[in-house]
Amino acid sequence: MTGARHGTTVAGDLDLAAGWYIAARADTVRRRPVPLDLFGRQLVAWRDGTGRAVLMPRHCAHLGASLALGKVVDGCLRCPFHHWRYDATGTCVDIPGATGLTRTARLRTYPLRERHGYLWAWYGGPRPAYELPEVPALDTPERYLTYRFRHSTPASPRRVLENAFDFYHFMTLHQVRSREPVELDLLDDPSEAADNGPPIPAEAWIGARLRSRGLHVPAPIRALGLRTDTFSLLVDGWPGGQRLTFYLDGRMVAKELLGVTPVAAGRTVMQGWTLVPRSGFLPRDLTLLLMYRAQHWQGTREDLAVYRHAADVDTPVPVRYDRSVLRFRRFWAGWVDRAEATEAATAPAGAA
Amino acid sequence: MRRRAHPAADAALNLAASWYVAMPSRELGRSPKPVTLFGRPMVVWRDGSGRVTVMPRACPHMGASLAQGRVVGGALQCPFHHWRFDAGGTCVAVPGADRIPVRAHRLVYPAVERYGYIWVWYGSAEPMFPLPHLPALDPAGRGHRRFRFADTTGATVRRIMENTYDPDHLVELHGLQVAGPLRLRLLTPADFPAEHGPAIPAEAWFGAELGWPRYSGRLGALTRLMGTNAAQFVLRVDGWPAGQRITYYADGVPQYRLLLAATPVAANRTVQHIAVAVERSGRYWRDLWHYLVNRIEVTVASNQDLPIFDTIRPGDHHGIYVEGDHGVRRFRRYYQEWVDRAAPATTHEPAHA
Repeated sequence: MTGARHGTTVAGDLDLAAGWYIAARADTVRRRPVPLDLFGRQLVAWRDGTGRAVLMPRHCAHLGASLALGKVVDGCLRCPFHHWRYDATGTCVDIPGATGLTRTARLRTYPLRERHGYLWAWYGGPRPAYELPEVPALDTPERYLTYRFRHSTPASPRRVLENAFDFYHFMTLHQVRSREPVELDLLDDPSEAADNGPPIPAEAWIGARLRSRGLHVPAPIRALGLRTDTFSLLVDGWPGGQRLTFYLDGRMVAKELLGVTPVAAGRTVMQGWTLVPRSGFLPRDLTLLLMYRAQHWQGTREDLAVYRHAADVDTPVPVRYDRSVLRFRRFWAGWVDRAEATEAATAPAGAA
Repeated sequence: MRRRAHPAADAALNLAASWYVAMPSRELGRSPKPVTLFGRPMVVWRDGSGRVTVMPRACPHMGASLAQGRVVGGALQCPFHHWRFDAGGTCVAVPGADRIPVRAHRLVYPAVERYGYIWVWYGSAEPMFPLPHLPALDPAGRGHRRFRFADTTGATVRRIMENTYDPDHLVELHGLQVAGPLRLRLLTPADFPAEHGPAIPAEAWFGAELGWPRYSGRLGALTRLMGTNAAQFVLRVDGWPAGQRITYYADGVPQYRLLLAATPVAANRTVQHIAVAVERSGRYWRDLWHYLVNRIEVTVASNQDLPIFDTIRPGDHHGIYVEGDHGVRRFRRYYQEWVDRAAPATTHEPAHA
């Protein structure tokens, strides 16, 4: 019998940090349960009677039928096979035909938050170590022009998230040209990233500011009155997501929320929102949005091409400018350890 | 001639030593046919006399697919260098060589053709018990009207076989509405009437009786309308690790006999075969009506299982068991004993000494 291979061990291969991840777009989970591949596991997402989303292992604790084929009945998810019912806490509340239950069947549930059009799931044990960080800009969408992006890549979640801290690749891969080379300063305190939102608890936080002077701005953008000298990027986040604010000459020009969805080993989805503030002059804002979107698309395309063929080197040959990437990796590794400890203690299914 | 065991299948298949369906007879014509069995590439072919051979597909010489070959003089000839193998797997010709290398011989799997299927034994060089009989499925018999179908599923062999011993799913999944409790009694071979079928060796045998009183609800109205609602229904099931014979009785009168068998293609890929022989009474229109009703009922019920099979948790695992699962648990224990009987993995080259 091979019971041990299910659930906890599979995700170990992912080297996944404990944290909040995007499980799915919120509008993909409606009345019917949907199968979801996440954290290298087969899960099911559904909504109870009050509309609250639930995320739990896909297979019934009884004989293993897929609960994604089930139905929500009286706010509980009912297995198609023998009609066992699970409530929103994963507890089996009804077993037809069974009398005198000696124990309760239970499936684990993942802590879940619904925000900004996404379902965010906590990976790393039954209790989140901190609340899902906030992105205030997305609470006032009327002040921005927005769009959503979504890309799928074989890269690991860590590689997707460490990319912002790899300032050197902006000049080489993305060919950002400026009079002085791009600089990156790691931030010391979460409050330094106040422009991105309320501070994230320090132990779950990493942040940096990128700066470049004498930026070479293409003529079409200059024509919009953006005769800019300095470009800077404020990025901060937790293991699982990032908040970014872009500035030209100290003026905020765009914001971004980047979340990752760790589907399985070798499959990650990066998705989120881009926001461009409304100045009151729509043609200008629209042009900026299109420009921003074009460079975002182009940059992402370049990154994805590298991700596609990159080997995940655990002990890279470091050079001076890799300091911040290595910092990010240490930060990540600490939360991988936490995830392994907490997940090992969490049974996917069992008797409670 | 000493015969060695075939290499064991991947543990993920959790295969019992047993008889399996390699393929339906009518799918094999005169040319060899490639199939995947036990997670391995195989070739099935007929020699000049029509006898069937099941053996590994790759030629031991340079690995060409023997399924691309031809049967010449009752032997299977490889397309690449024209080596030939007889129905026993012995290499009988190597053009251009003075003698045939000892390692050129192929190990064939025990195979039998019966009831419109080509059966193959897995688990040891020689079968541990003969293929059980189900006389009603004999194509020459006149007492029955027959039909059969096959479905490829994402389930394991054990999952498909244990389903018969799971009475609760009849109510919950198939929506069986009955006017009383569903009983499952595990039986001994002695409890079975001879008319159910010739005996299966006791150690390879597993059987049970499933009974319920008349149908209720809409189903009851329907069965009354069809003239088949009796006071007592019984399913008598017996079989070997990977096959079952089922007789369905209404008030003690047999309605049909059903054969359930499986083709283990690979891990979590199994073909479910069902063949049914509906009893004839001699009254033509009544018999035709019964045949159609039973055919629809068996097909619909089987189709209800398929989505479950295709999405079920991969592999064979324990679950949380309740009282209604005692049949499933006992079957699992019996099945696993026959998994243990299958020869352990052997790494040496198959060869004759």
